[in-house]
Amino acid sequence: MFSGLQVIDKVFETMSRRTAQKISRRSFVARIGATLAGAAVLPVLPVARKAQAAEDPGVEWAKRVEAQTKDPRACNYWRYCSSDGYLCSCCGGGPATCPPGSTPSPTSWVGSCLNPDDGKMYLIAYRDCCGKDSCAQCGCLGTAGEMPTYRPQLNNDIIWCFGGSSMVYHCSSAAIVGQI
Amino acid sequence: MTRKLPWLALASAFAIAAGPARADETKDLPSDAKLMGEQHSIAILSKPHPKRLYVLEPVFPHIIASKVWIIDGDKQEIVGMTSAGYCSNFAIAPDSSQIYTFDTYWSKGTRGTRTDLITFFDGRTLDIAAEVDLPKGRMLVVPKKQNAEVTTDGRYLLSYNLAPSTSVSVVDTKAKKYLGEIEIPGCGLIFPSAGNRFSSLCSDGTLLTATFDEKLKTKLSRVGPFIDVVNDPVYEHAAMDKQKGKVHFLSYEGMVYSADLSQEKPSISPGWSLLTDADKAESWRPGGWQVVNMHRPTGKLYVLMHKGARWTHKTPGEEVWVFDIASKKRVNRIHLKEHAISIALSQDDDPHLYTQTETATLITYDALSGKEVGEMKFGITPYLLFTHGD
Repeated sequence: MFSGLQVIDKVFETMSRRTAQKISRRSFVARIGATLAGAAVLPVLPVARKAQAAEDPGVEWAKRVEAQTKDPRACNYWRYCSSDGYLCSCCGGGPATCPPGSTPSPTSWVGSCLNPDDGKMYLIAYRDCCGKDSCAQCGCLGTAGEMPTYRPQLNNDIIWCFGGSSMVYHCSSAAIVGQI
Repeated sequence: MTRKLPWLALASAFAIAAGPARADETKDLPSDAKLMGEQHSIAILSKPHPKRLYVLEPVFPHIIASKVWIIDGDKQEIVGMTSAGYCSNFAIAPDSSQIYTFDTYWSKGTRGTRTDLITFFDGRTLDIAAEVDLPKGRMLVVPKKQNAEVTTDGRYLLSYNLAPSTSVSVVDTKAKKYLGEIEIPGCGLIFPSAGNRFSSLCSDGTLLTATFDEKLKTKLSRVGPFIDVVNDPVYEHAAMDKQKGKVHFLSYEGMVYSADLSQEKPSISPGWSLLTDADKAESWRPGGWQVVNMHRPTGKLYVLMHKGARWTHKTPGEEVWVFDIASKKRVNRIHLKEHAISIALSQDDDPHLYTQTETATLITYDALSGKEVGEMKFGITPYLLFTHGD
């Protein structure tokens, strides 16, 4: 059952990786960061999660769903430990490819997932593909570590197409950022 | 006669296309036909009653076109429906004389010019009574009730906004006019508690309360933190008695925090747990979407419960547990025929417990005995339940 959409699940990639990003994303993150700073709250960073890897919700998820590395059209594909929404792999795209005619959101959030083949943790960037009606194929819901919307950077119900050309959600993708 | 029917259908189609002017269908009848002359009427909803239920459906597979179903819980039948926009929210005037959808549309379906607005519907005819633009937009999210609200006297509509700083857009229902934004830094959601007041939950575990006047001059007060927001946040949905300014928040791990929002500076009682040690040993937890609600006349709290591990807070409930809020004791367990994501109650003396399942089935129970009253299947992904006087 499809429940949440995209979103700001986990941490903004920009905040954690300091990789070069588009101005629009940086701007949004800076502004939401400022908003949250008013409440003196910092998001949970991947480094903190790495330190607690043994208790990481992503590790728990991999065990519970018997995560696999062969079929990216299944909800238990290893990269989807924090994904929530319709899988782009079922919609003409792939785990890190938007279907034709849709565009990846310039913003993303990250999760850390366990690859069951090598037993290592990887940082995954979840990007929405936007600009078309919902794909409506392969709805998957993950809630490990997920928070209510008053902690937006950790919630997976918000439409996460911010900063892109369209706020219309199409599907969810999951790109490997690196091994952690 | 039979051969004539396609022509009659075509004539009717032209009549609709032509607007009010009616085609003379009788000319297509044989000269010796007996005229019946039946004309179409348009149904009007009955006066609102406690078992009037409104169901907001985000229609996930076609997310640009939400719906609101209107159900007669007594008769267990659909009495109406209205169309809404992308990730729409919904609210009801306190007397149900009007209903409101909080919408986002694009001029070309999924593209073109974006418009955010609140659509006012007459509560009986479902005709559109007004449209008021939200120039600052609205937060786009899988709908939760506290994203959009109406003040307890029905005067103002409140729409949560994340753009990306957080604010609440205010619309005057009397003047049918957008008044502006109330900034709620670091906070979200809307829990109305008076004609000019609402509270919001904040990312640091505090509760922010905004009291405003007609010009949106606003006083803010903050209490708490009252929850451990990192380890055990409260759900976005809460059990509410808006007219008395009472809200009972529920945490992921089953703690209840009762807030008195009837004053400008609220008070919040210490939390208490729904769960005994035996319940915890069996891994019982709250879970679902609209996970908690209350029957106000008897002060009973209804909670969707399931057995599951930590971080299963959206797992549908297999039972509804009933608690007496005053004594903090469980008084009933209702075993659900089918697991449910959302629950609501009629606020009368023989209350219904409405449960929405993941398979688009609305199952109604007697909220006191737990016996099934009826089952209806409609829509694709109905999600949120609202009752008259909610």
